[in-house]
Amino acid sequence: MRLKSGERNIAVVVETPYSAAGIVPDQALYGHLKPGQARLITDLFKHDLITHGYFNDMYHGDKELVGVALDASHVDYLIRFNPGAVELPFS
Amino acid sequence: MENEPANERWIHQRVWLRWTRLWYGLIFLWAAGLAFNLGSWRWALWPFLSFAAFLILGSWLRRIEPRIGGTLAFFLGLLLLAHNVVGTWWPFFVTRFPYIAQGIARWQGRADIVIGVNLACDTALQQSLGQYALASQDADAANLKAEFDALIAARQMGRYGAAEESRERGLLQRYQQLIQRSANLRHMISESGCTIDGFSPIPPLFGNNQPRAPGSAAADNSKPPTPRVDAKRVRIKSSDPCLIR
Repeated sequence: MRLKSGERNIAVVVETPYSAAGIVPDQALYGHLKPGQARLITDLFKHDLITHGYFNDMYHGDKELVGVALDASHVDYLIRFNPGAVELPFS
Repeated sequence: MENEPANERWIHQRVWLRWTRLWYGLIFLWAAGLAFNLGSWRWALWPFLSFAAFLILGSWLRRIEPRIGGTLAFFLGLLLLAHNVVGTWWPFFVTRFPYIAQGIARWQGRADIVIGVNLACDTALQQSLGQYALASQDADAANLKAEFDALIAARQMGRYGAAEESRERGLLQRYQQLIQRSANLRHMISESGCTIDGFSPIPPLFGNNQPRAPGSAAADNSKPPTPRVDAKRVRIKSSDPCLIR
């Protein structure tokens, strides 16, 4: 993981399965992102985060886990995104 | 005993002694079956054992010292009774003194820590356990602390029994789970090895002018996708080894 000083380091964590059509929704989402003055980090965690259910805990507002993730990763913002919880145009 | 007369009174006493022994044995087995070593039942153990020892000792004293054996056995029994009464009520009395109560609480607190750090956890987890107790402002930690405080108060009031002990073990296991979860999350970050720090080269599927299907989420303003964002309270330190300058 590489952080950059002088910019906002933003980690984006998306929980999404691989679709049958070969479209990877999280990569499609990353394609939409315009970094601008920010530095986007898209694979902050290992996939174990999802299989252990920690992503779900963080998505539902577990402050302890979010605090640990922010402290350990040194990122400025942690964006959690679950396309299964909302209806996306490409889903 | 062989020299005593086998009159009616002597036979009557022997029969009563036999039945007394039988009932005493049955009551002892009944108490043992109720697991009197747990909780308040353990207090039933010592009077039974003391009384048994007193009967045996008294009989022996009367046999070897017929003149003073009975008196000696009586005073020994009285001393034993006084010891048991003082030993029973002393904790209720002594915990009224504030310094003694605090000292007992500190000692019990150390006992709690010893139990906590021996719940099959490694050194890093033990350190985290201490840090979590000292530093965490999480609501879960606050709840844990409140429950531990209640258990300490129960100790001070002399109401700490098997149920409280079981509750304490449950709390410590919950405590350990929280620490383990945090340690796992740190592990996932530190070993992720991620190097991507910009946007993906994969082009977007939908451009800004791309027509959207009616009824889709993007067309429905009432259900916008709302990712959750948490900002860090502290800015990045320039001495961080992960930082690129």
